[in-house]
Amino acid sequence: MKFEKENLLESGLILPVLLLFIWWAGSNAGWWNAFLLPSPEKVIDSFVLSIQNGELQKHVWASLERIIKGFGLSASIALSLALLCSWFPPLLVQLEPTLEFLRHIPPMSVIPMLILWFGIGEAPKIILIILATFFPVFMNALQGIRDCDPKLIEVATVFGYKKWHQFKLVILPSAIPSILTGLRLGLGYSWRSLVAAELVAASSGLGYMILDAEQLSRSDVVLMGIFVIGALGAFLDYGFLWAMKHYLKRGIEA
Amino acid sequence: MSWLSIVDLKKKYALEDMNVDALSGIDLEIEQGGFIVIVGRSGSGKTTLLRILAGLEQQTEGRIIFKGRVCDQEHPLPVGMVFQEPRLLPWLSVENNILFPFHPEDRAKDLHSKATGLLKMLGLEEYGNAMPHQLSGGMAQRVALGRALSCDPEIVLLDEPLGALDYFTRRALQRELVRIYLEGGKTFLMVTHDVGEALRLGTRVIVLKKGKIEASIPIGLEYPRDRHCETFQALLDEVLSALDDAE
Repeated sequence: MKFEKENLLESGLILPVLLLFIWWAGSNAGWWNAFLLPSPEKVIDSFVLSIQNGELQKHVWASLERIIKGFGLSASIALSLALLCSWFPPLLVQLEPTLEFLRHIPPMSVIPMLILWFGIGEAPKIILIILATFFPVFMNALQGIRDCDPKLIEVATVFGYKKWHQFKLVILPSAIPSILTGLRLGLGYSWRSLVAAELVAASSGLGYMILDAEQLSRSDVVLMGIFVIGALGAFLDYGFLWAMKHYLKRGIEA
Repeated sequence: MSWLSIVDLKKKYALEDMNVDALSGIDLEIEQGGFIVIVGRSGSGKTTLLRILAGLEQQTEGRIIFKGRVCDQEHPLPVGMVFQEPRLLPWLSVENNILFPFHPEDRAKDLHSKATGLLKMLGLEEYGNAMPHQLSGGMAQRVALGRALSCDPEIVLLDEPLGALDYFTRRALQRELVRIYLEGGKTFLMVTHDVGEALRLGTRVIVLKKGKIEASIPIGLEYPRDRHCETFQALLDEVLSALDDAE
């Protein structure tokens, strides 16, 4: 019995279960207007219905496709640039003021310009994801490479490894945890920025689904969309974390 | 022609607007198969000398001549090195740390038996798959020694390798160092600030004073050495007196 109690306390389930219960009880007792906060049953019904008619899968896939493209591109650019900058420091000196300026601009603020330049197609959404995810990936990768213990590099030097092998065998593996943290942060940012982009200009995707439901006064679908976004984001994050732990546990045996 | 010659080796460091002489003209002949121990006070230049021999620093002047050829960045000394801290790569297993001097593409199966042999010699045969964080300080330092020996270097450099260990681990590793030295027939060049340790291990003790050699004292004692015997005490006095003069 004691063991079960401890399990419950450690599971982190108490708060969501409590909130769900209050939501369910309040909805059934009529504590608030059902339009402002529809009951859990209604949200579940709209979830089941949108799966049955294939709408949800369509929107989820549209959003995921944008994430894959945007985040994939962003991570490739950010990692390559971080490697180049660490390999050739004058490049970083040249880029730093520009990057520092760009880093402080909220990606959402450039949406009007992106629509003006690229229309309302896929390009502005992908670019928005790139803008939102570039910096966490780039900064973490760069920091990880910079933080490599110089004493370990000396070990490689003593055993005759030249610069390229020092980088490949010591600097890069030591930066892996930091690089993975950056990628994880970037993945979270990509999800948030995507939904914002789809709220502004899109004809598919979870953001669009929410906006469309708002215009049709379907607060149950809006809530359902929010839950799906949260669940998908958490699922991706857990998946990434699992892969990260699995990879680090195996060791980066070069 | 001597095996390894260090000729008028100088090293200056620029410290703000002044130059500091870390080494001010070292001349040293090192015989093959010797266990040379360098002692000196802090700042005497002993670690700098070792780092130059390891290729980690460049001398300001002077030459290192190995088997008749001048060593430079293109032709470094064939060394393996053990540092004061183990400096194991935390993401590699013990076995792969030992095999680190070999390029990953060369780490073929026959190297596994080499690593196993070294692990056995170091008393770590059970720990090949362990990760560095699972080892004690003494075990980690043994792995570092295995790494230094794995590429079969002609010279083993030891930069105060036992300095951070407790008394008992230190004594145990001193005995192991002697055993490995006697079995391997390699040339050992060690830096320590512990005069007793220098006398227990070395075939010759070099005393450094302010970047110059103050004394070179041959230790003609058999291993294992009894620190209570008269000759040991006399040598201890001689080294200590050279160090005192160095003040």
